[in-house]
Amino acid sequence: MQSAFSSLLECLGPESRANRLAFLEEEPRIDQGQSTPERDAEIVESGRGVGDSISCHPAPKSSFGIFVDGVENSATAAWYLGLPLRLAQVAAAAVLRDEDGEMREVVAEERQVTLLYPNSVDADTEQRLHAFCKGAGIRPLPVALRQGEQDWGIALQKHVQAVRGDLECTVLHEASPRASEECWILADGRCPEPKTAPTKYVVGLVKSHLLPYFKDEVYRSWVLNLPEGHRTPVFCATREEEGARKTYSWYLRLHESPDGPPWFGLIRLEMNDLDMALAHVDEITAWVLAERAPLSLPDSRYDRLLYPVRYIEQYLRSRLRSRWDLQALIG
Amino acid sequence: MMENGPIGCVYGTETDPTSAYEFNFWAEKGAPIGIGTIVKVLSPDEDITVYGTVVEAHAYNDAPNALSDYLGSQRNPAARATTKRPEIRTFRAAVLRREPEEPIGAVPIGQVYFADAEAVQTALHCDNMALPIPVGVYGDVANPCPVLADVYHLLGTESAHLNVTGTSGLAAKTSYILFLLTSIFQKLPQAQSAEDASVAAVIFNVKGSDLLFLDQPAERLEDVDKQIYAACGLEPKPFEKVEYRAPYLNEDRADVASKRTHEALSEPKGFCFGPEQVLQHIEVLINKDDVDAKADAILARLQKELKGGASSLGHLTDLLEQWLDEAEQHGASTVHGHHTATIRKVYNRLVNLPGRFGGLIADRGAGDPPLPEKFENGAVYVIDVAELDADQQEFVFAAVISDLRKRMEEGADAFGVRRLIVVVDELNKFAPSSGSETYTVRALRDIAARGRYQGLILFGAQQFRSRVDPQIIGNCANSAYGHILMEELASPIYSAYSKAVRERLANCHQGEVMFRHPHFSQPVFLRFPRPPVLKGEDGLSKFPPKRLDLEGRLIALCERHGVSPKETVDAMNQFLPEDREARDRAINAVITKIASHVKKNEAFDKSTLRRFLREEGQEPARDSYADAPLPKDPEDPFAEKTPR
Repeated sequence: MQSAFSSLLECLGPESRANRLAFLEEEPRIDQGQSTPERDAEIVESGRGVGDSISCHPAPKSSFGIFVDGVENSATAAWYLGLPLRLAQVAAAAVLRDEDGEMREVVAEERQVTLLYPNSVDADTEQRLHAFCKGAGIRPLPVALRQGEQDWGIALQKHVQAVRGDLECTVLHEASPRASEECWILADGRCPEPKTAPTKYVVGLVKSHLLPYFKDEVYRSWVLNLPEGHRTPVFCATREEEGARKTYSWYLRLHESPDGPPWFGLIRLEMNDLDMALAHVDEITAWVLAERAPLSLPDSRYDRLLYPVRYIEQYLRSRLRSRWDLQALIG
Repeated sequence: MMENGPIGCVYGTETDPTSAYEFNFWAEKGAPIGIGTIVKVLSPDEDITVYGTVVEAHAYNDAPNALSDYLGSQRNPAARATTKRPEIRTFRAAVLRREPEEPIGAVPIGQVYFADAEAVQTALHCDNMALPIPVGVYGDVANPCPVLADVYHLLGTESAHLNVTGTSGLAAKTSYILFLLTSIFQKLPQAQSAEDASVAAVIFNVKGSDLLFLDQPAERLEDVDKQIYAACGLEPKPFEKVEYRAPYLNEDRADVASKRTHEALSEPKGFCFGPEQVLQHIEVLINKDDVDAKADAILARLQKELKGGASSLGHLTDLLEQWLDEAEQHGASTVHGHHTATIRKVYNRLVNLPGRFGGLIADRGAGDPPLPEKFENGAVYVIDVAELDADQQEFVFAAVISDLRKRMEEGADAFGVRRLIVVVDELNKFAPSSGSETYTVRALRDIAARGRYQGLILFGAQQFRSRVDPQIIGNCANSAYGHILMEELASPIYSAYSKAVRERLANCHQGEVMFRHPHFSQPVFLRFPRPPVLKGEDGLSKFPPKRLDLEGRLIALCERHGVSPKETVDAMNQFLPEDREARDRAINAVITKIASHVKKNEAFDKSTLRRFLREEGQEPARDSYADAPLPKDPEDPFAEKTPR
């Protein structure tokens, strides 16, 4: 459907200013704010305690069969009365790996171009924005500042990550019927909520450690000192910052580097169901260790980024629209 | 052959775009695409079809360098990765044809398909040919697709000539030429006019025996060969009309120097050259350094003598001897305007020729020419010089090529056929790139440049194309390349081909060539079958050569001079002794006498033969002392029991 406006600027009127889209190679993750918990997370694995380091070995064959990940690409598209408008391209996919180890079938895929704008713009402008986006095939998304947030630029950027997360949930939901005991789902990031992924055969893999689950000295002396191939016991991972949602987690060291940072090769695996986590913790750990080959080089996150997840990122990036295409979209 | 679905997709990036004459595409890992594969590109948005042949192939995965791959495999070559890195196959193809042909734009981004039989014919412009000749097949063994060449671009007049390069012994040159000749001889009769359909071939057999049994069927042809013949619409049968010519073994012209002498086969017709041809090609016969400008004058004078009535080499050497005597008598250093040193140089060379060249040079008379006056339609003439040494071969070659060139100048009717194909192996020997400009080289250049108008077509072959005269190579519109050594491929003349194509040439199998034709925008890899004729080694085993013994030589010699074999045999039995040694001695003497008799132009007939046999067949007179048998004393225990 043709838009009534030929460009975003025309839509916004004389008070707006254009901004040439400049996409970064990789979106920097916005620091959510690191805070040490007041007490250590509860260890739920019987016979284990804080400080235990459990040795594991890679399995001969991994039972992960479906991998889920998303990518995002965003840039400030225009300014309206000093307020930024951010154009974001987000995509997510679930890909099936076959018996031969080839990432062949895309089970589910979603892509979206979204224009995020502060919810403080006036109604008239918002109406015009919606009309423009409808004509251009862009999804308009008003964003509100969260408590403590003051910078609209950062707020919009954080929201892009939320949009991506939503898309990942969508594809995960579509892929869930294919999950089974022989074909588990490994999602990059937190384990999605049960209503999103109605299957118990799903594990989340978290690469960043901005929210520790143990007190500072315990975290530094124990978790950050895990040797390669070792894991912590399963603990209940609950943080207020994450909405107090209960999940069951354990840390695992994939790779060691004597001269690297302490979190080198350190990941956190997460599941929704306690019984499933306790029953399969060693198995799942062994599968993840098996996924270390091949390394995800040349990605700088190769110590924590599993190759199938990187494959999905490569796949999604190849299908994103180019900068010039997006520039033409907004005029 | 045709896959229903696409096998790949053209890609063009900013740094690696497609062009009007080349395009890149990727294909699935298992797709059977290789160097030389013909593909078709269909553009979904534009009504454009592009045909191409693959000239380069690459494979890579997403490992950025070897170290990443090494580390990613945990330094263990046996490690089996849980997830396989995606492996891409990319190919570069050279455009063969596009539809529509104009405008010539870049190859569009489209889907790539295997070319089926119809697409191959279209790609190679076979649909535009007036009279197509199969030159091989393309495609897999189960479904060979014939590839056609236009006869007017292979055998003139539009363009012509063929050059074949290949390593000796790897079934490249001779086998392919024989297959092509089979194809031409079977297909050309389908030409619109009978006159246009007439063709003959002259082949030099310079080594081996593979060309000695062209009229005999092959012992065995594999099924795959039969399939290729069937695909090309050809019958795998030997040539119907083959005439063999071989030089005489001796001056007596009784026997020929050839391995094709079995009685079950048609005998090669002998040939030799008279004094006129000798003088005409003297530069081939004697050391070229000797034939300087001063000697040229004497040779010119000798040629004049020949025209004036001199009939033999001996006559000419006698003349030179006479001049030398004159000079010696008068104490002069020059005679008849020539220095005695130069006269002696020429004399010494000429007087040795009969001895060096044996039966190839007739001391007197015009000789027996190797070529017929008119060539017969559908006939192959094999000039077997394999038994001659290098100098002799060069002489025969020079004389024959000279004759052909002369006839070419005479006009279209000179050959008796519309097209005469002359097949020359070892072209780098007869027309080297770095040699002096001999008459032979000039003649070959002339044939290569103008022969297509006069119906004289050169099919040349060599192991080293880089060492053949470039003017001859350059005028050959068609080329075929079999297995070529790496050292030869390093020559700049192959730089037009991609590295992958050159590597394929270095690994060509038997029965495979890369063929270039004016209708093909790019050379194409073809397969061809074994020739449908008896192989040399099989032929020699089945028809071992029979060299005439002395009696046979005498019979042949007498038959040549009008005395029938029966009369000769009867006379031998009547006059010659039984003893083998004495008999051979006598026959040898008779042969010598006959040769000398004939040389003097004296008549030879049955009675002369009987006289010679009687003279030589008698027991020699014994010396009364030395030869008389010892008296036999039965009582003497030391008496010789057998006569000396």
